[in-house]
Amino acid sequence: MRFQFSRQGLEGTERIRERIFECLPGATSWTLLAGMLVLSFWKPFLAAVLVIAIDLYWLLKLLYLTLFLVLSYLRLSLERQTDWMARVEAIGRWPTVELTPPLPHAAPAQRLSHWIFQRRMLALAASGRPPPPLAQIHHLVIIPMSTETQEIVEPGVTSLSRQRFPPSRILVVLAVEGRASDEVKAGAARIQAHSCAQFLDVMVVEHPDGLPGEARVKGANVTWAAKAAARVFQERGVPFERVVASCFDADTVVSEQYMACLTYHFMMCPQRTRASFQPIPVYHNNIWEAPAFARVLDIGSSFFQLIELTNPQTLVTFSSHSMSFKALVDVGYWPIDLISDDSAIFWKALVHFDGDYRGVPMYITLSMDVVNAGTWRRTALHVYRQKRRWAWGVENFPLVMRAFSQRNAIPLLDKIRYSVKLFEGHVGWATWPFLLNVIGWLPAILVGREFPNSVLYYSAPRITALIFGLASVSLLTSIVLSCGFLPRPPDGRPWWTRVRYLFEWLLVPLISMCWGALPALDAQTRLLLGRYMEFWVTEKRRAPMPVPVV
Amino acid sequence: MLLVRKLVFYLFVVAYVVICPLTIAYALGYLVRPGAEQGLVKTGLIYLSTSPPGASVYVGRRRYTQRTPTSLRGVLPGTYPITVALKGHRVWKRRVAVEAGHATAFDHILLLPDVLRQHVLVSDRCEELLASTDAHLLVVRCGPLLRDLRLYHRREATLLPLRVPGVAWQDARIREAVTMRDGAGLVLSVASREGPRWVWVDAERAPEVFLDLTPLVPDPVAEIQWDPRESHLLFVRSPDRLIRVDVERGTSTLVAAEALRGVGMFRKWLYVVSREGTIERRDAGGKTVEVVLDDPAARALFQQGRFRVVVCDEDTIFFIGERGELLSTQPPYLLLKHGVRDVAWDPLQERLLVRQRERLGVLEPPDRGLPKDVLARPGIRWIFTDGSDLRQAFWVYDGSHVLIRDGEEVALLERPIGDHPPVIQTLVRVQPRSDVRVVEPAGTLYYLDHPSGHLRALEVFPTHEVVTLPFREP
Repeated sequence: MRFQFSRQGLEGTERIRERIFECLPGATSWTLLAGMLVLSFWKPFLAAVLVIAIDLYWLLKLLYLTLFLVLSYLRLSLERQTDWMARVEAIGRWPTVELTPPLPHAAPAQRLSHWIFQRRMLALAASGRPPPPLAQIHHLVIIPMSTETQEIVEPGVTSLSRQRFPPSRILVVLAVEGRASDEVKAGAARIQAHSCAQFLDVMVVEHPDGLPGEARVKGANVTWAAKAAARVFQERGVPFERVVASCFDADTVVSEQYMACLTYHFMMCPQRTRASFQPIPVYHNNIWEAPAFARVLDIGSSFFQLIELTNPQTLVTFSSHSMSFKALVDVGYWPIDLISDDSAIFWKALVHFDGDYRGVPMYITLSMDVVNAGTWRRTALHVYRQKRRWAWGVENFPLVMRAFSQRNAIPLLDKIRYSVKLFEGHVGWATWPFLLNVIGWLPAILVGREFPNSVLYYSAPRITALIFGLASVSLLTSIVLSCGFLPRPPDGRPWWTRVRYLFEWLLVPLISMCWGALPALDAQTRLLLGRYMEFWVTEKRRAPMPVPVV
Repeated sequence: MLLVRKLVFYLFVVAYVVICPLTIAYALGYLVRPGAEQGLVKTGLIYLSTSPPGASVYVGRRRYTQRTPTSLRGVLPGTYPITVALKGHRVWKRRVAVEAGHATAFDHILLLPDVLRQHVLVSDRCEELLASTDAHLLVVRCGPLLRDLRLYHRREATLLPLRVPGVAWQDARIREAVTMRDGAGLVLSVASREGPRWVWVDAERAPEVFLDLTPLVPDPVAEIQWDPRESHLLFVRSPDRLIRVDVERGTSTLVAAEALRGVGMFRKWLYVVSREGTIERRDAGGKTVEVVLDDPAARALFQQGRFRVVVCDEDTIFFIGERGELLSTQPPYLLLKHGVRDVAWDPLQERLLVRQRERLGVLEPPDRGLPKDVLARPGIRWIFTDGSDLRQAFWVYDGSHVLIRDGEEVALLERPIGDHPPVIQTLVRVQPRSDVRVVEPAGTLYYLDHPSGHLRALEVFPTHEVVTLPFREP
């Protein structure tokens, strides 16, 4: 029986079950925050003990994540010099693959990268699922446009035209909303006219507004575009299982190796038609033009994704992502009534294939814009809305839980693993910053009112301070890594731009509350109250970027 | 990577399972004791914060590595000789009892310099310092007459005569002086050529502001009260009425034509003990707003004699009777039967300091943070019993110490912690019949030196902030 991955049209117990699961994250977050607050005043002694346990958990988790952030960063650094196209061509000669070893004087990173490649080749050979012929592999890149003008979209399309992978096998679809302005539509037409000859084709597909069953969400637009692309592939006789579909944000710019890297991972994955491919989104297009808080926030997002890549078992797609086009068609494309289409498509596929679906990490970056609305105040508002939209990914929780309760074929361990990740991730997102920065300090202060003569009154602040001191190791690590992660400041920027940037990290406690926990709590509360959100496009500005830089 | 991630995950889970209970146990004071008596023991803690900070700490003869403010953690239950020493300052020594799971906090240890700094402010011989006036002014009496009154302006460090217009007034002999708490008002009873007179002086605006109260006040005057917030309104009680005098307008108004047993003021409200023994809150016009206490058991106590009313806050009122009995508005009403000379309220800790001729006691709420229950379990803890003639006692230094004037000696009494006996440090000798005044936060004691009679200032308390919370511990 096909599972309805939507909250539309549910009735009876299904509707009740959906509502219960919708309420669960928000109710838990509020209970945690309010409970700790009440407990701090009512039973400060108990609250102080609890806070120590919570802080310790947070510290260990932070150190754990930092460790994998470093490993992931090293892995990314390892693959920076990799010639993905050369590897793809090598795999394309399957089964007589000649693995040219690195030269004796090659850098250790190259040697290690080659060793990983060798291992994966052996694993692929052992799987009995050979890679498809390289010549048959095509790419579909869908770029949704709603308010994004030509200036925002064109650098991304240009970057696609400069791929090492033959652009002649890349179909670019500019998915334009029917309600978009004439300027946006004209921009799409101009891009099509400029770039058409360089690709298999550049299509401009206009998505009619207000189709039945659709919400005003990006998923509806890209689904419409994907269906149009499907017809093109059918007409050209390209099998869907040989097509890799990518859904990029309009401002996404990729490096010349990106498509080759994606092809490599597609070919190397034995279950390539049951997989999504997740790169590392970075926000470098306009990072030096954005306000400090937006910069720190988006580097944090990139780091989070870096950490996520180290755990393919629970890797879920986020932002610009790719997947087998066959899988996309099989699952019925992206949800047309959910905002979080990027992660929802993963969950939809996971449920559709009864758990036989996976996220494949790609250690390559693609670059997007940091939210920049011109003024600090407008940017702050837009960032808040953007993060709330991201946090609205919590809408997947009731759908996934309902699906898990119905689909017995999905292994129980997978159900538990994904459920815990989804639930803990969203509740933690909404509560940790408040617990650590505000509520966590209350018991230590208030315990003095009732138990001023207890050892705990004197120990709790000391232990908390020690925990925060150890946690600064993580902060320092993030600062150091971010220095290597960031692009060079544009010419003309004073030398202290980078120094100032280091101090911006001190804003982390405030940023994590204002643009982390608060929007997440907002989103969960809306879901709790049944006030569903619709897609809201964030404003992005940047200086003219003639050459895409990733 | 996945395998590494799994391994590290389980490692961290194990680490949490082990570290978390150990950390909580440590926070609660539990430690593993090595050696023959190995096992988990619950320890206590000693917290020491000094002013000035940076003092060395000794437990017995062993010097502790950290300097104050600091905590001695993991201390096994027992009694320890603790010494705190700082070069150039008096040594602080205690035998400190430590209980399991409890912290013994000495968070206001005042390390007095070996030699206290004092300055002679007025080298003329003075007879009396009038204690309570505005924080910027000191009123001293250098002779028996009105013209012998001097005003010492602390900021300008100048001594000026308090000029009262009219020759007859200058030669009037001072019989009594009533000063305002935290205000610059001064009411003097004098014997002039025309007979006994009452005069009001605004010391801050002297010599211009002066008023002959005699036509406005009843005779005899039993008590004068006023609120620093409305210092132009005096409430004068005589045996059969209560008069309100507006010193700015020079008018008087009858507030109550009845024999009140006592009057107190707090935030513009009058708190009166009626003839019938009820306690009432009245407005400035004498209209009863609220009956605070009307209990037959209390009436029996309040129906006899006169009372000095000490209003600490809306719910905490004390009464000192003619025989020195101490009463309150909460059952059982009678706290002490006799001998109380005065009381002093500590608004921070919500405690009452009770002064008798030879001893000082503290009336504390059973638990902090429960001000309404301040008298729910009455019981005075006597913290000093070796006095000879205690003339003044008040809380100083955030309520951590009590400054006492016992006969000619002024001494500093550290607030006792737990069952530890109080420690008293003598500061100076003063004129026996003159008050002393401490101005905080400057931490300066003003007094008339004995036997010279000079007005002097002694720097007793540090002006810098005291570290009271463990958060700032290095």
